[in-house]
Amino acid sequence: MIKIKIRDASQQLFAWVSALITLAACFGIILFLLVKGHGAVTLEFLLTDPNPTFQAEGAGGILAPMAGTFIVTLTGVVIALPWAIATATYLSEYAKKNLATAYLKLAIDVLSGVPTIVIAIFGVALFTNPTLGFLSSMIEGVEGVNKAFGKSFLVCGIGMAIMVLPYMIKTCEEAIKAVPNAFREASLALGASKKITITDVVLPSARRGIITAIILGMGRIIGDTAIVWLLLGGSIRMTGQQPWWHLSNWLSTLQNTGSTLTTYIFLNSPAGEGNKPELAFAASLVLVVIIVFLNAAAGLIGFMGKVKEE
Amino acid sequence: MTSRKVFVMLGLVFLLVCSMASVSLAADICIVIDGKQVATDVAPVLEDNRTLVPVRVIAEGFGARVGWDGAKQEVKIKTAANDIVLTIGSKNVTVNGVRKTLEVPAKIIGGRTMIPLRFVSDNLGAEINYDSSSRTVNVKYFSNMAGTLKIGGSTTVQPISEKIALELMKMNKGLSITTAGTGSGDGIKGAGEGRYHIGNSSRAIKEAEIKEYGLVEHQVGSDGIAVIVHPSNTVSGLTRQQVFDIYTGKIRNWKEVGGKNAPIFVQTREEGAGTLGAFVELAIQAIDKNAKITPTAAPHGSNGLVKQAVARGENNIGFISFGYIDSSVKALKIDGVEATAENALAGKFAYVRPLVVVTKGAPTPLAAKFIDYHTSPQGFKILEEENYLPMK
Amino acid sequence: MAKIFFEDVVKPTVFSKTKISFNLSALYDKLWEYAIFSLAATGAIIIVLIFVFIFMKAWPVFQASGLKVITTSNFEEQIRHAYFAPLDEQLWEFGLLSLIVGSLTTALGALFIAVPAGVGTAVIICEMSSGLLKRFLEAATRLLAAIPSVIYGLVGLMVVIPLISDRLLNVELQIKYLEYFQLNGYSMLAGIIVLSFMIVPLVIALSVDAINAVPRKYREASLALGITKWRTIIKVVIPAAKSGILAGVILAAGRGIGEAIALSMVSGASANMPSLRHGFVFFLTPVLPLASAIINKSQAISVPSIEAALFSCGVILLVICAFLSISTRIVESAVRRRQGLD
Repeated sequence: MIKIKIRDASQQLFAWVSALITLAACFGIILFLLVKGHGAVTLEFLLTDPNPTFQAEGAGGILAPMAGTFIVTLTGVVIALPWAIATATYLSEYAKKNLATAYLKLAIDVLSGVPTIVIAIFGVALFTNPTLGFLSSMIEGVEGVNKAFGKSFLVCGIGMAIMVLPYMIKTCEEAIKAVPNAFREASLALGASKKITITDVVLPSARRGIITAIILGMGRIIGDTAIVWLLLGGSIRMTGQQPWWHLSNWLSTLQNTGSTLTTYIFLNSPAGEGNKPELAFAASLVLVVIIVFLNAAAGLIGFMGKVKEE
Repeated sequence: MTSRKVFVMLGLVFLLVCSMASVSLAADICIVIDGKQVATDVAPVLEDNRTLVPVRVIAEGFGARVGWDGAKQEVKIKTAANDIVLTIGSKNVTVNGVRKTLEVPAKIIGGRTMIPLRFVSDNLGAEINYDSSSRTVNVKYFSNMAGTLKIGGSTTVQPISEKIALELMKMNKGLSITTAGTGSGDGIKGAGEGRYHIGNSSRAIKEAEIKEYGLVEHQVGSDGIAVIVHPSNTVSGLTRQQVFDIYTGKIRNWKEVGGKNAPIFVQTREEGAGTLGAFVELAIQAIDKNAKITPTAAPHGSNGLVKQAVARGENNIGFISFGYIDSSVKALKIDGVEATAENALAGKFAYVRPLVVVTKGAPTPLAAKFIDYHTSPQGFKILEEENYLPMK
Repeated sequence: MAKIFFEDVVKPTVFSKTKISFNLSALYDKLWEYAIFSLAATGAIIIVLIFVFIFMKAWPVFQASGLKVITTSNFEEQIRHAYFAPLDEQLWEFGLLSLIVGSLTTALGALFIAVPAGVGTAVIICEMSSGLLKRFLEAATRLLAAIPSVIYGLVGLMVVIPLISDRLLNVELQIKYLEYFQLNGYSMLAGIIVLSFMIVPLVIALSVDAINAVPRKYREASLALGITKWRTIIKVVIPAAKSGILAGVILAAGRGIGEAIALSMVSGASANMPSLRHGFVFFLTPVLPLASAIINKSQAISVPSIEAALFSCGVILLVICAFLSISTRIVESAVRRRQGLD
């Protein structure tokens, strides 16, 4: 009996300890970044472009990487969203139980397991193809060569879209499936076509799930390094027409290389060629703060949705 | 007879007056290259409506390299794309191997070689405007660039490329230069496959790579490689032979090179890294062609990681680029020579590697100017800021 | 194509008011269906493209090495030789066994820590805590899941590596193993520690879902029999949630094997074969997992045979991860079927 009690107590202790370790790890990492990085985070750091240099002095700020994170996330989500909604709609509203549907489902599952580094090297092999040159730009004037540069915000956004697609499909599909059948029947009974039923009734009712999918996708894109590293080009600044933030240069910025916070961190840590770990920590801190905000936003949307429903 | 003499004399006087006149006229000719006024110790000379300028003006303005062959009286001007050979006092000139004729030959004035500005500029791809009211020759070399340029490769060279790209794009509205830091290996491969106009490399290109891709190398600077140990290590210098023996595994204890009795842990870099390629060439293969770095050496992914490993391990030895040396590690003297930029520039330090950019075949005109910028005074400044050694 | 359209369009429905508008809307409907079908199909095509592209690039290595790719382990030396080989006699033979072992040991080691810890935490979240603590734990889990791998790598590099080299290594040990590899902190152990923090939130999240899905009546029945709450959790709830937890474990395994950046920063970057003969030094062996190899060895990618070798790492990764995804699917559908029966 005592043995059993000891066993139970030790099991409980183990569960509590692991829960506390999880908690401690989370706060530990944030505290560590805060201690190491807070000194470098100033308004100037946030609002100036980084300078291409390995020296800590005059390294500038992280405006371009922050904007890069934003642009990559936006392009990734903008490309993935219609794609994911369409696939989810097809799977939940149209797909018949046949081999093709089974294959489609299998393909999405397998795609969800593909490591990001593999998507990245696939992108490198695919996007230097000259027919896809419009996504980055063609190499002009070199004799006997017809190749595309293969690295740009657009290319990176497509890579990201491929990465998050399966997750977004799954979330959207669940949301669409959760829409009560009565809604569809009512709409059809009113004479609406199936398309109208889906676009005007089903999808709007599933919007909370779709928003969750967007936030999920954003979170994964923001955190990725491998795809950015190989498909965006490990540059430090924006390399399109300058100034990159000028609206008239938007296409040039999208077709050229840049950096995101994750590659900035990698480049400035000892693991990249950079020599400025304190800036890597500062950028990490900023990135974590962005992620915390995103998480909070997701929570808030969920909460507001609940309130509305009630 | 006398009348002839007088005639000749008169002619000489006339010539003298003319040349003096032209000198005095040209004294206030102002040469502006890419928006910057060029100061010259010997003033430009106007002859037959052609401006002769000291050759240094071209070298400085265009990042060209100038050679002087005293025996043949030849001036060689070389940029990444073009090769001009002028002979003093002769109207014959070769441009990229093709013979052309000058209207005014190059000459020597005040001990300085003067060359015809317009001819040289035109043939190097510059744009020239003469404003007669302000007596200003406006030369555009780096500020008449337009089009797109794609550059990729060595992360070591990446900041230099980005800085140059930034400065050039400031000067040129229609110019777009895209850079990507992807490693020396990808830089070489990308240039060879035609993904980049210019591939950056921090190591010399292998024979096989040149052959496979038909690459052309352009050296844009150099970099010293320091052998580093922990600051507490009592050894303060090694000979090249000792470095070789340590890295090939023959010497395994610090006491064999005058240190304390402790094993030596060798730190190295990943295969293909520019710094490793250069180190193997300079420190290993220079002594024995077939020697290899000991397999127990720990490979690291970057200069920063080697430095970190050496800073943390008191028995470690590693090698890093000069730019990374700081107080956390100690750079060793090699053959008694301290690892400093001065010694490296003076050719005294043993381990100096080239920073190289490659193009597939001859560079495009745009790529050539980008490469030239490295060797212009502005380029020197950028290289020095990043602790590299410019090609002065 | 035209025929199918025609038949579909002409099929009458009750709701049409006028023939023309009905035809048009039916046509739109059909077009819309085709449009979303083709978008859905692109996703399915892309996965095929990924397999084809990666495999094509890796083919020469498989052709030259045959089964040796997965049965021999001499990667470091082969890379070195391939790198210095003259162009016309390139070396295409590579053995990736030590990389595969590196991937598997790191991932399994991380699972060994993360699964009990994750399930334990999930139990605390679902059954043992409430209010603020529960919210805190949930938020911490979400945040841990969202922290980018490069930050884990950075923290590992600056905290875990120094810790291992200060606490676990000494000069005698380093000398003893110098004939095999250099012990310097970068190791399988560092990889395991960093990776377990990365995958523990995944295990927690899926375990929480699985535990929450266990019907209330199970717990009530068990408690009614006079069994303590904790025994109920151990004997009833967790077994009932087993399949769901397993799905989470497999998912986490896939994430662990596919992780490139963080592991490339801490795991040692040289393809040593860890050996159990070395005792606990087994864990201190610097290893090179498949995914990090693609990043770490990319400096030498200008040599075509090395490029192919890295792509063959990609092929092996793809195969392992596809296998794991399909397993997750099978487990999940088993769960669903069981729940359906309940």
